[in-house]
Amino acid sequence: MDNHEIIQKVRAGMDTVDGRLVELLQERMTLVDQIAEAKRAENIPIADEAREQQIIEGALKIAKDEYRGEVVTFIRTVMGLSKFRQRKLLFDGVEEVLLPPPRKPQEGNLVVAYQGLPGAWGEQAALKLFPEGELKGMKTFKDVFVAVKDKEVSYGIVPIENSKTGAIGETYDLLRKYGCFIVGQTYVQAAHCLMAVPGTKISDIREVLSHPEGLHQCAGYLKRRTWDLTECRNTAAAANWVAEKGEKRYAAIGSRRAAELYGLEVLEDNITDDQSNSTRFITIADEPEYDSSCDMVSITFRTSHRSGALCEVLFHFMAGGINLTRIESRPMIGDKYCFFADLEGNIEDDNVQRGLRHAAASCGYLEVLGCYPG
Amino acid sequence: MIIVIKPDASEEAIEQLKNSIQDQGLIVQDIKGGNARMLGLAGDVSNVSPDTFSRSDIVESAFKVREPYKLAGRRFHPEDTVVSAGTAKIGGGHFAVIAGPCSVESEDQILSVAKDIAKSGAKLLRGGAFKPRSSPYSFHGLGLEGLELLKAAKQKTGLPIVSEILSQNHLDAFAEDVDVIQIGARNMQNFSLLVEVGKLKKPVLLKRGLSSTLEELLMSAEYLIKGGTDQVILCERGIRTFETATRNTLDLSAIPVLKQKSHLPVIADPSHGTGHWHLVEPLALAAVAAGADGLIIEVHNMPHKALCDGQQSITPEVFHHLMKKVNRVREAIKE
Repeated sequence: MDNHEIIQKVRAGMDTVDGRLVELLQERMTLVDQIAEAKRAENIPIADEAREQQIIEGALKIAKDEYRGEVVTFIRTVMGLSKFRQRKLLFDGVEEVLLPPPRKPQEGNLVVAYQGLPGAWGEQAALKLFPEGELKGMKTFKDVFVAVKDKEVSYGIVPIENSKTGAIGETYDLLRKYGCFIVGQTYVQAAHCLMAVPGTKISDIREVLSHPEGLHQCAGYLKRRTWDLTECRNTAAAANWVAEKGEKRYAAIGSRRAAELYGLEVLEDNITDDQSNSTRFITIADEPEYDSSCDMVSITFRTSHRSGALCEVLFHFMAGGINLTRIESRPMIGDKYCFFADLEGNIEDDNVQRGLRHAAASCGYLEVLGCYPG
Repeated sequence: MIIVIKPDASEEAIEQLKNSIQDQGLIVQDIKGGNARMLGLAGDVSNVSPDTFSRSDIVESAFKVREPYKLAGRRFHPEDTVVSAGTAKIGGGHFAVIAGPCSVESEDQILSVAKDIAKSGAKLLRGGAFKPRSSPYSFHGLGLEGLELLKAAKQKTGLPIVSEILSQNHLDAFAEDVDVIQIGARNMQNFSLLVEVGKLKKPVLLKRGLSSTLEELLMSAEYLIKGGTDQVILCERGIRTFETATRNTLDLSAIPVLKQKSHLPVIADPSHGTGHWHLVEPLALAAVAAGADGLIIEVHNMPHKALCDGQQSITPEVFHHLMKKVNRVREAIKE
């Protein structure tokens, strides 16, 4: 028998086994239907961790040593699907709303909030996304979220990650707390400039001010000097402060636009260490906005604290053929963690819906934050 | 005391009469809803004789009200009060179910319960951040952190929050974050707390003390209203009797009695009222049939693991089923 014949023969055997697996899965599902009603009558939650542990232990008893890992993953997946099925039954077959229906993108006089003063990178991102918008600088990221939630502004712009320094934790925490939706995103390349009052020479400078991120992103450049470094609330505020002070011993690090706005002279252009460094900004709104052209979905979910809990949730994305482009975790109270993930696809796609619903059934809480063009 | 004004009395004369009553240190308010124009007098009227007013030209008659509660009583306020909290309304024909865990335990717990109960038709989310427990060794709640988690759940689901206040120290936090402030059964006669909470002018859920009469409950409501809020929800949550099969005896007769004596909305708590999850549904349905304006029910995603009152909490699936039955009972008793 040559290899082709072997493959053909083995595949035929696999098809038979798969057919049996499908039959068995369906048989198990009909048993699930019977238990759902009884569990409700006895006030037993759908997720019964003690019982799940029993099933796993039972399966491991008959599993061969070399397949233990595969068997556990397989059984857990089947149980995840069973929980999904029970939930669906007990809530009268009503499917969870993954994301409320979209509203039309806002039109007319748009007010867009960002954090910082004119000249801040957040303003650059806002200008990029809403060139016609009326931009409003806010003191903190939280103020931006509150303004959006209270409908004081149409949209808010906040940074979510930097290609070098990673996630902006505060934004993730605010996404967790406020019911805001992500409706868009953009990348801004932070080409930092060194600026000071006109006529200043590099040798006059004694102290440099900027946002901690700004100082961090120019750390290599600053290492070669002996300047004192002072942290400010944002880069534009640093430029503003230097301009108001009017002394040649001070310099600020920020955008070229900040230098122009506050009447400072750019002494050195683009001093960012990593020239490809960029910051990803998201647009937040109080209602979701999406259409068929969107190809990115952001979610947040919480899992229980046991081995394999995260894996079980992620498994459903694999099963749905959904590519995860990013995953981030944030601590919550009680030593628990909350996860954020970005996935490729549209919320209306069948595989995305199925993957998310199944994932939701196998974790404590899952929420879709938005669907937008990537 | 109630003063019935003659139909031809001028507004000016009525105003003068009201001023002279207020000068005696009494509270005077218009009674709306009756045929004749009437004024209600609250305060210490023990030394004031109705005859003093009967002699006035514009007064038809004056008589003393037997009940010690005036502002909470129906005589002064024949129309039903509708309590509004965020998107929810209770009373005067508006029915609302409040649901949620006994205590807020974690972010995932409160968010998943909130999402589920909203789907099943609950209008408000309950959750204890500060818990009064019979034992000093029991779980006493997450405190202000618990309020933060409730706020997050409100932001995500839109459900207004009901939470219990235990101490005057937290008045500021509750004034800002909580939509309906609950005064628990054990604090029903904490009069200084009642006065302070009343001053916040926010909706209050007042639970009946475990050995309080309905008159005492209404007197506590009187404290709240006199303090400054007219948004009070009365709650029957079971009283102590000789029966040991249930945690308390849910006094269903309290519902029609309170609704007869008072204009305030009346709700029932079958969870604390019975103490057993399997009694929650039958007593919830009975309370609705008895005319309750709403229910408050403990729902927990994992009752057997709840840090507080697990034995009387129901799962979101059981709650979903209960809500369907509640709607059927409401339909059945519709006039």
